[in-house]
Amino acid sequence: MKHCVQNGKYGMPRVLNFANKSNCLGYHVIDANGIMKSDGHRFLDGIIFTAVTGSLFLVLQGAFKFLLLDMEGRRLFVWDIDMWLGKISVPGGFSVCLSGFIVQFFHFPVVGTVLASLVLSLIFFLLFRCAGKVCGDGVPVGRWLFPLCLMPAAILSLEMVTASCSFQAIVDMLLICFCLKFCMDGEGRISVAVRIALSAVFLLLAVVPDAPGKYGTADMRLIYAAWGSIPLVMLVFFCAGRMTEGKRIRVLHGTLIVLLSISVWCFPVMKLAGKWRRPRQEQLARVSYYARNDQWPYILTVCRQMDMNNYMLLNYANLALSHQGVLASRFTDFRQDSPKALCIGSDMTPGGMEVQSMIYYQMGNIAAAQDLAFEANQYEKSAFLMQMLVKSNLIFGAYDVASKYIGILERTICYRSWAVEARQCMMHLRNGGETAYSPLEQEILRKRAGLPVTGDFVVRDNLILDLTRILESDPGNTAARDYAIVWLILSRDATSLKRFVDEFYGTQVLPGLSRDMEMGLLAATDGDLDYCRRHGVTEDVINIFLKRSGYGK
Amino acid sequence: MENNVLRWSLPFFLSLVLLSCAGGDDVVSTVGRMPAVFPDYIGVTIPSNMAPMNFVMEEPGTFRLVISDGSGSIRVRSGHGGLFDIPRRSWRRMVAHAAGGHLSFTVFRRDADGWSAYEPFNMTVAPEPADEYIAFRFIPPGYVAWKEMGLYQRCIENFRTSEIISNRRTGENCMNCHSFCMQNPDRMLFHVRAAHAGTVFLYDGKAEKVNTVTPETISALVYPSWHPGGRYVAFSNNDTRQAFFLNHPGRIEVYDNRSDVVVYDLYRNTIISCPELKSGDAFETFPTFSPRGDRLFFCSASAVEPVQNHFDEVRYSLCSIGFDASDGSFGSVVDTLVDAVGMGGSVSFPRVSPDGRFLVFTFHAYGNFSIWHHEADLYCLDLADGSVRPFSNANSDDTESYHSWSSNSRWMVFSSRRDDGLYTRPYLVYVDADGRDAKPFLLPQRNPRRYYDALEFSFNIPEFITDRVSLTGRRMAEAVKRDTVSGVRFEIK
Repeated sequence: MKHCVQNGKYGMPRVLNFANKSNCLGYHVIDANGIMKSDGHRFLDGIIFTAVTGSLFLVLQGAFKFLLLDMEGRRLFVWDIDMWLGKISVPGGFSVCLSGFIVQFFHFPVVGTVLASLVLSLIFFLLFRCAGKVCGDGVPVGRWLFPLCLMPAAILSLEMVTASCSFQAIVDMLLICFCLKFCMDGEGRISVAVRIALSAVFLLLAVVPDAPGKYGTADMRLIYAAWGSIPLVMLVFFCAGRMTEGKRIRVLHGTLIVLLSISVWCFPVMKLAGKWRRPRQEQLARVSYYARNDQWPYILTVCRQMDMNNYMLLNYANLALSHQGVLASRFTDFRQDSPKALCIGSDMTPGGMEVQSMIYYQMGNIAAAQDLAFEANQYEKSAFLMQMLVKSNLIFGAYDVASKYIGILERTICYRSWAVEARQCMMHLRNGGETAYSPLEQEILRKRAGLPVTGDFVVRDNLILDLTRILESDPGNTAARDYAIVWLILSRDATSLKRFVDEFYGTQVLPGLSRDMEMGLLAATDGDLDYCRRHGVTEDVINIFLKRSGYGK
Repeated sequence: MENNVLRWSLPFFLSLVLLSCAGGDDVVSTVGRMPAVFPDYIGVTIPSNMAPMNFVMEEPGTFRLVISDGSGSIRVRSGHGGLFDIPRRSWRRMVAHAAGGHLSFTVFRRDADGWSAYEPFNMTVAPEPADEYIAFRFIPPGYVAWKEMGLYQRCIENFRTSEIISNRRTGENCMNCHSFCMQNPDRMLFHVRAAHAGTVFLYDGKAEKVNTVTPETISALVYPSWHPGGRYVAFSNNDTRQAFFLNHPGRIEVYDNRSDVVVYDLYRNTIISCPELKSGDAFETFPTFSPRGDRLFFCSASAVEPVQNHFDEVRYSLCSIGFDASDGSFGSVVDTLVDAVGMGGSVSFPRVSPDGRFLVFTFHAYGNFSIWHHEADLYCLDLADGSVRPFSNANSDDTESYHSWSSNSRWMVFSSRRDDGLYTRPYLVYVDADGRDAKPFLLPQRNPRRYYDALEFSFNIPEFITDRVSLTGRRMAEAVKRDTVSGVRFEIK
């Protein structure tokens, strides 16, 4: 037998008494034993929770799925109890571990979005339940104020996509909301005071940021705003719960209007974030995701749809062209005006170092690739960089170091299979295996064969010097040749261009000149037609050059 | 000879008897070889205050270990991954009791028909203990970038490592070159680079940060060495560069374009030097005081130009000059103790034993940054007779570099890359009164395989200290963030 009871009726006290308020639902049932339980509106809560989760999923999947994928790509979660214990022992370390644990599943496109949506809506729901407690018996109003409870999650989502590209602040908020809910659930044997004390200790030890680089590049203003929004929401709910019936109706009408706008605010805010966020963050996340997964044609497709006025995007586009084997012939597909479009040497951010590492690896400059991967890995541990370190160390024959990194990858969920293959490859190479039995080993042996036979230093600020040495050692390295040609054209370095042609024209490296290079050589030699004809510049190009430059007049 | 056979065989048979009786299983056969273990603790010499020498079996199976000192034994079952986690209390009693003697380790493997015994191996327990703590810096073996970095101290009597100061307290800046005055944890210094730059001195219960840049010196002060009196600290100041090889086992070369040696007077806030230490024709670096404080040892190489193109021609010799602590003056004659050119290599990191008898240095092909030189080894100069010889037991095929003496001159801790060629690990080696080195051992960990495999940091500049650093990291961080003492004067004497 059930009795339906509406809060506020039958003389229920209006004072705040958490012990007598099970939740914000407004209606309770009292069972045969006299225990009050919520009933019908749980269904409504379920709908609200599902709707919020669904909306968040659509927004994240539609607009930010690559940011989530990129987020996982820039982190590495290792299943190592000692490491966890070490992290947890530092204040704030628990939430760092928890965040890492969750983010590792972002590796799987839809799973990541689902998880992110669930965490965000859990924040919303916990806050909603807490707000319901504060609201007391003013529940009908409180129920419809639910979009306000989205505020912290929405602000932190905004922070995530605009600044930090990190899930850390969201996980912290989740833990804060759990503690809040724990404090307000005064029905158990533990008193509210004890609950508050326990929560405070937990938050101080597990959440308060003392762990190294916990928030990284996060916009702390937004994080503090999200934290500050919690008491604000509580205050609104509290006031709503204390209003008289008449006021309630007025507030209800007013609130309905507000709610209509607020209930759809999440999507516009998220879209707005697209305009606020750092330039090209979403596009960069997308192309770097494709690059890490060797999906080079997609990069070209994406880049062709963009306004390519960003050097890092051009780095990825040229890298994709190189992987397709068409860099020298198709680099004019994109508007490029500087050698930085090939390799943005000055960018020492983790993202910048990562793409440079990929470029140097593609060129055959394994030492530089290894160096940059190592440096980037200091800032952001990532599986991709670790893989780069494994490959480069295998190429150099540093098997013990490679084994160490393989061991780390073997303790991950998503990269374990790659690591197992890499270990097999390492064992085979170590035992003197000469015939490659896997694509990875083929790649290692190919790159090893092309290593420059020189003890010279890497010269990062002038690519052509290293590329020349690489080509001297490995004339069949077409990627290095193409990068050299495009670098010479883009840099407009006449001396280097002439020296390069002098050294390599007619050899395996440069059997002939491309049209762009012919034009470049004409310009570099200041119209020295005899020299150009000797080095294969065609009459067609000479005529075009003479017409354009006025030498023919 | 017969005594030796008896000494080795008795614990072995005792172990067999013990295992047979206690385990209820019979030892049915012998394996006929020693077990494959990590770390390689077979035949090493350890101090009597060492933490349990836990090791893991590098082969699959179920194992038991019996440790015996002839009068008692400890039995250990292998755990996950073949780990022998030796009970601490029993170990402490046994190793203290065995000081000056030996411990016998016998490993048994469970086979289908019973237990098989490997050939036993021994550890020698030196009568002299080592200093209780080792201070070091945790840093990735990188080149330019860093994020997490810090100074830590490890108690060698157990497995506890605690933070001295880490850069999470100081804005993720760089901190390096920690140095202690005669292994005294309460008199130390370290440099801070990038944010809050300066040199932090901890002495007389206070912490003070000093800006050591002067117009007369090449750079801020770099490689330090305390005078035993605690008032002076010798430093090098270097114009250091680094470059990466396109393809070279050393990966990277670090070289100085210029360098000098100076002495900083802590009480007068003054840097002093002399023409012999501040020559334009030579690169002087790596100073270190003798334990009596009357001589200053340093490395010196003829200058070349440009260094980038001739870095492999720079060879540092070991030199010394007199020093008078009463007035901070230098002698007028520079002695060359080790002629690096004659030996066909280069000297770095000279360190004198606290009893003043031996000077150990790192010897490598050229240059001064030995950590990137796989051929780098430790050499010992007997200051009594001037003879030089390699530490043949301590050295490996890979890099041995930075080293530090314990206060009783019987132990050294040094960094080595012998395990994987990149990450430096601390090894401890016993040096007897005649300067002979024993087989070194890797600093034990509770689970050494898991610890060292997972660790992505190098143990940089391991330094023995007699006790833990008492000043807290928070107080040090406050000193780091405080205003810097500036106005350092420069004098040529």
